[in-house]
Parts: sequence; structure tokens; C-alpha cells
Amino acid sequence: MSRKLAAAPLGYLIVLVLACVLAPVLAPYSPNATDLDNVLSGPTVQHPLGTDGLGRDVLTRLMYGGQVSLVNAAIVVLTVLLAGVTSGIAAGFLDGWLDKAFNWVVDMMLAIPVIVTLLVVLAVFGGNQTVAMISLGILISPGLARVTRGTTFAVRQELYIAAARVSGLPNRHIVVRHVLPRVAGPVIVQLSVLAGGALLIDAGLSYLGFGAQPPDPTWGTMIAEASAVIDRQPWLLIPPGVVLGLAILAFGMLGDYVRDVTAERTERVPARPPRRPRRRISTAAPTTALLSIQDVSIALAGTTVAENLCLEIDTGQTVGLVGESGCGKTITGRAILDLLPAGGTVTRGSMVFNGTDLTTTDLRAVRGSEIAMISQDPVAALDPVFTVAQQVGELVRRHHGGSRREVRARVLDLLRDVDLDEKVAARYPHQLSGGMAQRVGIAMALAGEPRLLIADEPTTALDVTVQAEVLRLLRRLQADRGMAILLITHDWAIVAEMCQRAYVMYAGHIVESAPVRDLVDRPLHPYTAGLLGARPTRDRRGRRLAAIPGVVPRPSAWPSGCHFAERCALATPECADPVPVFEPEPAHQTRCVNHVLLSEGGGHERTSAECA
Amino acid sequence: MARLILYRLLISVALVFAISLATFLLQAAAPGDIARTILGDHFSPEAYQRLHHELGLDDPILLQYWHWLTQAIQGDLGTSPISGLPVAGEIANRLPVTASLVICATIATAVGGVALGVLSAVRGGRVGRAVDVLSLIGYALPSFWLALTMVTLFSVTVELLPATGYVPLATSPAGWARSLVLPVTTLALPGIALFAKQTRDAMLEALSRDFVTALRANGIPERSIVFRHALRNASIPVVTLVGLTLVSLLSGTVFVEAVFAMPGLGGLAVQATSQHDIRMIQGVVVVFTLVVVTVNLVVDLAYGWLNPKVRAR
Amino acid sequence: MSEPLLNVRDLRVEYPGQVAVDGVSLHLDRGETLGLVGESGSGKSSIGHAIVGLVRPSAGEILVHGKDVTRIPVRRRHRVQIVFQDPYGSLNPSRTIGGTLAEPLRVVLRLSRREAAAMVADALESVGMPPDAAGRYPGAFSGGQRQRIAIARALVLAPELIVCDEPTSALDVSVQAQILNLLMDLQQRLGVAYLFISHDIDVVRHMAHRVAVLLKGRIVEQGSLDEPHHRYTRALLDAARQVIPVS
Repeated sequence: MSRKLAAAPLGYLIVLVLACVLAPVLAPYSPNATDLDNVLSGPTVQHPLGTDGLGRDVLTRLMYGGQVSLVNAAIVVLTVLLAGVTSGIAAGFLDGWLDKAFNWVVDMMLAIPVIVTLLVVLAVFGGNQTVAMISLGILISPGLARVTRGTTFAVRQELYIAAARVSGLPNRHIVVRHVLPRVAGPVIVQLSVLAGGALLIDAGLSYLGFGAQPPDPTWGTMIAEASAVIDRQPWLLIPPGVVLGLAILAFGMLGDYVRDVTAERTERVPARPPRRPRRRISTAAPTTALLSIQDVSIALAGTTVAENLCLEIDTGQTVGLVGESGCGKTITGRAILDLLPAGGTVTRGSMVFNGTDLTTTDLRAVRGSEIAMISQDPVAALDPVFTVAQQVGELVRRHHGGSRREVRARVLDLLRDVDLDEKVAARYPHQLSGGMAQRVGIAMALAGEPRLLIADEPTTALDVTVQAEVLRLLRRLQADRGMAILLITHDWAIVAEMCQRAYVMYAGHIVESAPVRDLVDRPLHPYTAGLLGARPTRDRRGRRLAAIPGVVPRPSAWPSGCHFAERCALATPECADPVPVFEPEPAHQTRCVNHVLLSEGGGHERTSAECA
Repeated sequence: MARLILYRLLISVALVFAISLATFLLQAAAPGDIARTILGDHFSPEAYQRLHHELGLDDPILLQYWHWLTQAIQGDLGTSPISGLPVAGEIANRLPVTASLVICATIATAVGGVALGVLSAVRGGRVGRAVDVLSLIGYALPSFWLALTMVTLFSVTVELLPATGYVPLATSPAGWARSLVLPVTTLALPGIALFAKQTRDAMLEALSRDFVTALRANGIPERSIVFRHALRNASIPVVTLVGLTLVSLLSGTVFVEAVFAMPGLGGLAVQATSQHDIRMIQGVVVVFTLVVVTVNLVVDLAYGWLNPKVRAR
Repeated sequence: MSEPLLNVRDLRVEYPGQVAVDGVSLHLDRGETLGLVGESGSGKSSIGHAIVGLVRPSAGEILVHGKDVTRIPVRRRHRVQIVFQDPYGSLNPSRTIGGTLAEPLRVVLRLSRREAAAMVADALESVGMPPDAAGRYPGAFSGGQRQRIAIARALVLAPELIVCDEPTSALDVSVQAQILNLLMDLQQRLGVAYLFISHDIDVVRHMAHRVAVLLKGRIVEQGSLDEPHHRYTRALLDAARQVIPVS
């Protein structure tokens, strides 16, 4: 909701409160003055909102009635604030037995039927409004208490709270300065909603006759009086209902607004569902490679995040895509399967797989059966509510069909292929270790017998010893099945071990590509050289590392020309111009004008076209 | 799972115990006592003493509670000092009305809300905004006012549906259904809005998870992703809403039964309140609490069944 | 022989249903770096958290200058500080860098606003951040810059020991090198000691004078690791494959 839109409910509430408070001054009549000549008049000049069955002015009675309702709502909100917020913060911050007892009480109170219990109070205290409203506040406080406790607990887990404690700040100070400001947002949201609820219940009770007694007006009794003459003058229902409804609505909208303003940015954009086949004309050139990406650019929400990509994978080959986070590696992998997040598109170029251009075809026939994917966080990549057998089974059924028995047999075969015990089939994802979950992910990817596997940082989340096992498994499967792998990683050791060829990506450009041995021995781009030099190595312990200064620029802040220029020790003025791709050695390409400085003595040189 | 159920049982027993005790203590703290209420304005001290003794009011309050409790466990909730009727019998007579209302409203709320929520999560855009507006309206409209407006519209103006009253299911199923349309709609509307919003949020959350991308990448069709995977995951947070919704539906019956003049438990509670018949309301409170507690237990079982992480524990 | 700066004896840390650290003893001298390496769940972070007082050990002693600090409230232990792994969670997003860094100076050491501001500026300068960083919010900085700020926050209280809990694991290789270089420079200049915790055995060996290898809450080997004795240490070293270095 925009700020402008939030002004409307706030304005309405202010006008409402002022009108009620100033009723003795502003109201045209006395609340109980009867005008027997104008009974049930409907809106007239004299009585803008009409008169009721006794000829009393509706507008006046609305203003006086609001006094009672607003005071009652205020009592409820204050009670909830005192009871809910203090107990919630105490429980969330102090933890231990207090927290346990708190949860007990809250769980209990949430099961209390509020209104009927309130009726007991009203019966006992003979309709005492203040007591009833305080009771109501206490009865509905567990909701807020729970929210407060949850927020406090979450804040308490924050590292910055731990850091504050280590730096010696006392608890009292931490609660006031760090916890309260974070709790305030959710509390205001809840209170705002509760204020609306309190108005509603207050009106309901006085509608039932448990509020202020006649002839004093309340919104609830006005509705009750209107219902008595519903067949003669239905108009009378409108003013109190609309005033009350709008007040509740205003509180609700204010709450929504505060929530939008204070909510932490969760950045949870749901992945875009697959689109219809894209109406683009393929620009593909003939190729012998299994996958050939030519001059591809990718944009997310209008910002180019990768451009000019050229990449080829042959059947059965493992190709590395290397670079730091934010360089566009994952996006490139996703783009191949048309799995870009909402607002993402391939804006130019072609991706030819096995003779068809993926950018112009419907990918449903390709996903899983031709190209499959495994991802970085193996446990999160599995649906938590289904067993391993159910998840692998669904894919087996999808790609091969067959009876229940055949599917089951095939699932167990797949699990055996990835070195998992049969027992794993019955487990749920949360019962798997990271390594096991990644093996399941691989089994699922293999279910459709793909010819290309996109492995996006497949071992980054795993411990080193498990990492080695998973990589060994991938290598074996590839040898057995002749499957090609596009391995996306930031880890040079993995590239050196697994890949025949690697592409180095920096800020949306592929800056260098070569057979892995050449790349590691003779990098011809300063970024590649910098990355290789920045790793601590065993023979240079305790010495300064060759760090690359600065950080990877955001896609919106890319410099013109070479994207690496401003962090580069070799940069010259010509780096600001668009940089062509050079091929100084056979099959070794670099996007650096000064690569000669890196190749010791130069060597022969050849400028190639945009993509070699 | 077993631990969760045990916890819920313990809490339930404690709650029923606590709430009956609290109402009892309130009664003792109340100005004036039952004997005086029964005798009215004019009575002799002897008559008062006799009645006071007969009602067991001479005993210490905790002993009185003990008597009430031992009888309550056997299904006897005492006798109303005002009407002289047994509380349990009166409640049993009126229970079918409230049960019809609440069960129908719960089903309408859950089914309607989840359907709207899924629709708005998957279609987004205009449908999503429509659900937003609907949920704000459902939240903001006072239900008894809405009820009155609907009575004006459908009964007074068009005479399409009965304005008031209740037809038992056994008497005429069609009449029963017709008599429930307006009250159930009134009762369910705010809940539908809440369910729709929560379902939408839960669906969007589920659809943004990594496993959805992984499933798409490996060729699972969109229909299965939405209805098999996302909906199943979204149902876990949504099912916990049923318990909370029930509490507010029970509260809603108090107003709705009054507007539609239905002879249910809500109406009974209102009537007893105006007569200061605390024994009777106490009975209603205890019965309502038992219902909520039982439903919560079922919700917990469903939650555990849906959520493997809980089931394993 | 003088007391070591930090002496941990038979430390045991338990969480409900599991023992995270089981009888760990280690010591650390002034200006020294002790590396602590192990895989996830080995208990390495729990040791660090116990030393700064974020978790209470269930048994054992943590002596700083010979005095057991496990019974001293956290707020009087500020000569031991910590730098966390996650540079995004470790700074309060709604407070300026200057506010966060000055807070303990003002509240704990009761310095005046001017004195605190001067010390904050010094600390920021020593980690290579511009002085105007103090007026900005964490959201304006990259992961590597935030980690520099987190180091400045630790430095501002003039600690003798900084527990570095996976300080570069969330960073890219090129930025990791910047932070590792910075930590080494600071040690040379200020003589601060580090307990350097990481899962990356190469990073730990690069930084530390001595390394302790942790497996399931116990130390299996301690030393330079030039000639690893324990099977697990060798497995770790083998698994962390080496790229042929640039010639």
C-alpha cells in the first residue's frame, strides 16, 4: 500500500475521534431530544442522516455513541498491550522455564471461547463495561503475546544481538535498544487489527443489550433499534453499520500498511511458471556440439545480468562455469532450462541443444528427459512432505510410466546407482544428511536419462570429505552413461579435478575459456589469474595473498567496456572500449586487450569475431 | 507425535478445569448470590437461610466446586436456579442448532477459503486483488450488521429465504438447509477471507521454495507442482487455522443466533446472561470449551499426519 | 613459565540431547593464532561461543590470564571479542555503523560521545574503511566491507583475543584474500591473538601458527600439521584438493 493510500484510513480515524470527542460542541441536537414530527424521516436537510423511531437525530446519536465505543476499544487495546507485550518479551528474551510456562498458558487461552466467557463476566458484574472490556483484553491478548514472543525470540537469535552481548552490553540495554524497536512493528500491526476487533465486539455486545443502557446511544444499540423497524425504514441500518465498518476497515488497512513498511524484505519471489512456447525466430547457426550457446544475453526485470555468452558442450564432456557469486553463473544455468525467476528473459542469442533452439521451443519435452539439473542446497531441493521413493517415483512415472511394481523396481535401481541403501527410499528429506540428499537429487535427475546434467554448485553445501564422494559419484555416472555435465562452481579445485574445459565468468561476461590445464597453468585474463592467486596454498603459508581489490559490481553498475577494468592492475584507457574476444592459443579465448602481458613474451595473436 | 498429543491432552484437561473453576470463583465474587436472585425482592430471612442451605451455599467455595465437578464429570451440569431446568438437558436440546450452524460454517470457511486462496496464488493479478478486497470486507463488516442487511435483502425485500427461525433436519431437510443459508453465510464470511489470505501466502511461500524449481527442472508438470506439491506443503500451516477459526465461529453464534432468532446455545447464553443465570452460562462455556479442545486435538492429529517432521517425533 | 593468554581445560558443552564439545583442552599465547578446523557439527563454533560467553559450558575451565571466566558475567569479558561468519546478520540493519561501534564504548566503558567517535574512526581506519562509513547503514555495504566493519567492532574494545568464527566462509575467494590479509596485518600491528575457526583446512593452515583438528567434539590432533598423524587429518588434507599453483 502506498503512503497516499494509508492517509485515507488515518484521516478517517482522526475525523471520527474528533467528531466523537467534540460531540457536545459539534452535534446539531441533544442525543435524546425527540422530534416527533419527524419520525423515521430518512436523510433530510434538518437531519442529514435521518431520524430514528422516536425522531432522534441519527448523526447526533452516532457522535455520542462513538464516545462509548472508542473508549471501550481503547481500554481493550491498552489491556492487550500491557498483558500481551510484556509477557511476550519476557518469555522470548529470558527463555527457559518462563518460556515453557508462557507457551502453556497461551496454548490454553487460545482455546477459550471468548464471547461466551465474556458473557459470564457480564452476568456476574451486571454489565459493568470497564470490567468487561478489561476481561476482553485479557482473553484476546494471547494472540499478540505469541507474536511478540516469536519476534523477540527471532531477534534474540540474531548475530548482532550475540555481538552486542559479547561487547559487554547489559540485557536491559539490549532489550530497550535492539529488541523493542524490532518488536514495535509487528505489535502495532496486531494492535491495529485488535482495535478493529474490539470495536466489533463492543458493538455486538451492546446490540445484544449488554452495553450502555437506553436511552444513551451506542452504535450497537442503534443497530438493534434499526432492526426493530427494519421493515419500515431500512435506511437506519446504514449509518451505524457504515461508520463502524469503515472504522474497522481503517484499522485493518493501517495495520497492513505498517506491516508492509516494517516487514523484513523476504525476497521470496515465487519462480515463474513455464511460459507458452516463445514466439522468437531462431538465430541459430548449425553446430556439432550437444549444447551450443551463441551470443546469449539475459535480463532480469529489465536489467541485463549476462551478455554475449558463448559456450559449447560436447556429448559426454564436463564443462566448468567458474566465477564468484553475482557473476551470472546460476542465471546462465537456469536460462538453459527456462527457469529464470519472474521477470527474467533471454533477450538475444540462441541455445541449440541437439539440433533444436531451446529459446524457441517448449521446454516441457526437454526438462528431465534431455537436460536435468541438480542444485546447491540438496535438502531444500527435495519436497519435505514426500518420501524419497515417492519423489523419485513420480519422476520415473513421468518419464517411463509403468505399473506400480515396475516404478518401484526402477526407483530402487536408481538409488543403487547413486550408492544409496534401499532403506533410504522410505525416508523423508529431513531424515537425510546433505550428502545423502544430494545423491537423491542426482537419482531424481537421472530418472529421465538426460544427456546433459546442469550441476549448480552441487557440493558447496557439503563437508569436504562428503564432497569428494559426491564428485567421484558424478564422474562414475558420467563415464557409465555418456552424459555431459555443465558444472557451475566457484571452486578451482573442483574444476581442475572434474572438467575438460572451463569458462570463467565475471560480471555477466565470459572473460576466458580454455582447456582446464591451460587455464590453470597459463591464465590469459587478469581476473582468472587473480582468482587463482587469491587462494591460500600450502607452500606459501602465512604470507600475504594476492587479493583482488574491490568487489564485483552490480549489474546496474557495470562499467562500459571491460567489466573488470576498475579492479585490474593491467587496465589501460582502451579497456573502456568494448573488448573483443582474442584467441592467442588454439581453443584458448580471452576477453582482455592486455593479455599479452600475462602470457610472458606474447606469442602469436589472433583477434576473433564476437564469439570464436 | 505422541508427545504433541499428550501435551495437547494435558493442556485441554487443565483448561477445562481452569475455566470451570474460574467461572465458579467469579460467581462467588459476584455481588448478590443465587438465593437472593431466586427469591426476588421480597423474602424472609428464614426462607433465605433455608434456600441458602439447600443450594449448598453454606459450604466453602472450593467444596461447592468439588461437588459441581464430580457431578459434571457424570454429565450433570447442575440445575438452573432461575428456570429450574437441568443445565445439561437444556444444552442437549439446543445443541443440534448450534452444531448445524458451526459445522456448516466451518466446512464453508475451509473449502471456500482454500479454493479462493489457491486460485489467487496461481492466477495472481486481478484474482489476487479481488481476494484482497474480499478479505478486507469480510474482516471489516460487523457480522450481526451483515446478518440484518441480508435479512432485509433476502427476506424482507425479496422474500427468498426465511428471515428467522430454525427447522430441524429431521423435520425437513430442505427446510433445514434453507433456514441455514443466511446464518451460515454470515458466520462464514470473515473466516473465508482469513483462510483465503493465509492459503494464498502459504501457497506462494511453497511455490518459491527450491524444490519447486528442482521439480520443474526435472520435468514435473505444473499441475502436479501446484496441486500435489505446493498445496500439500501449504496445507500444513493452513490446517492449524481450523482450531482458531472454530473459536471465533462459536463466538459468532452468539450474535448470529440472536439476529436470526435461532434456538441454539449462543441464544441460550445471551438469555442466561440477561437473567444473571450464571449456572447456565457456565454450562455453555464448559461445553464450548470441550468442543474447541476436541477439535484442536483433531487438528493436531491432522497436522502431524501432514507434516512428516512432526510425525517422526 | 608465564600464564598463557587463554587456557581451556576439559571444556564440555552440551545442548539438549547432544554433546557438542567433549573434553577439549587448548591454550593460546599473546599474538598467536590457533587454528580450529573441523567439519559441520564437530563442535568448533561451540568452543568459540563458550570462550566469549555465548554458551555456558557444562564442565571445564576457561582461563584468561589464569582467571576462570566461566563464572564472570559476559559483560565483564570484553577483552575477548568475536567475529562471526555471516556478515549480513551480525550488524543491526536499523542502526548506523558508527552507532553500533560506539554503543559498547558509551554504555560499557562510559566514554564521552567525542572520545567514542574518535575511537570508532580509528577502528574503521585500521580496517581500511573510509571515515564516512560511520554515518551509513549496513545495507550500504558489500559482504566483504561488512566483515571489515565487524572486525572494527571487535577491535574497538582493544581486545587481546579475537575469536574468528568462519570469518571468510560467506565470502568469495578474492574478498576472502582481502580479509585474511587484513587479519594478518592487524595481528602484526596490534599483537592481538586469534582463535581462527574454519572448515577450510587450507585457510586455517595459511593463517595459524598451530592447528587443532576437531572431530565429533574432540581434538584428534594438534600441531603444525606438516606431518599429519591422525587418519582423519590426512583425509581432510586429501579431500581439500590442490590446484596446481600458478608458476
